[in-house]
Amino acid sequence: MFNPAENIYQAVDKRIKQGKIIAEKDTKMPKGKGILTRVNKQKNVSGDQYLEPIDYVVDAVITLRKEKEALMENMNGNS
Amino acid sequence: MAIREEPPLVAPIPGMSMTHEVGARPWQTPPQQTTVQEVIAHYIERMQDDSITEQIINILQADVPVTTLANTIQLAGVMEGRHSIDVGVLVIPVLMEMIMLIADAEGIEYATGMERDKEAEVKDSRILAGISKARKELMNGKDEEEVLVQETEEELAEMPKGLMGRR
Repeated sequence: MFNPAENIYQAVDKRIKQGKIIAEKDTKMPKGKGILTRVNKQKNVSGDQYLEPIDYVVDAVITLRKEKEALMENMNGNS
Repeated sequence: MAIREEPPLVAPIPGMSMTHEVGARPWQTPPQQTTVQEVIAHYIERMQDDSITEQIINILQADVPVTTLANTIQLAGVMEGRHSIDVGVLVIPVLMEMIMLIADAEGIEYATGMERDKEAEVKDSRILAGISKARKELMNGKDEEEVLVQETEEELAEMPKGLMGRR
């Protein structure tokens, strides 16, 4: 039976990994007034504004993973 | 092949979905929550409830994979008319992560549903290779169109001839 859960989870996972790679690289763009600059400005949204709903999902997954890591550390520390 | 001994009486009757007026079912009405944010907040709040947590643990201990459980939860939300199916599919990763968090916190082992069965994959590829080899052998000496006509005739003969199958 087709289960979309696997596909969407892997897609989000891939997006998180790509995000990490991009964050690790130096992504300073040259100053300019071209379309690339405008697109990058649009991407720099903060707070509750997201370009796509999936960005919110990615953020939520990252938060939950961090929470899980903290929980596991706590559990290991207590034992 | 196993022969079914009893008729499948538990299956839905053909046309059953049309026994209510359009819009009378919750999933046919506009969803209560339309954004991913709202839906995620709803599920996270619900999954923090002790009774829900216990149910999730019991289901995971019955070897139900996390993917199946997450998909079932979101489908139930669609059936209740809480959110649309596309928003439901979008929130699946969050549901899966939350389920895995609950399971890890309780220290139980679970199947994610994403484990690869390499042996089965190899078997599948062998079957596919066998089918294409057999097809090529069958095609030897026969025209492609002739084979297609033969296959179509066979498929037509196998088609159901019940009330719903009439043209």
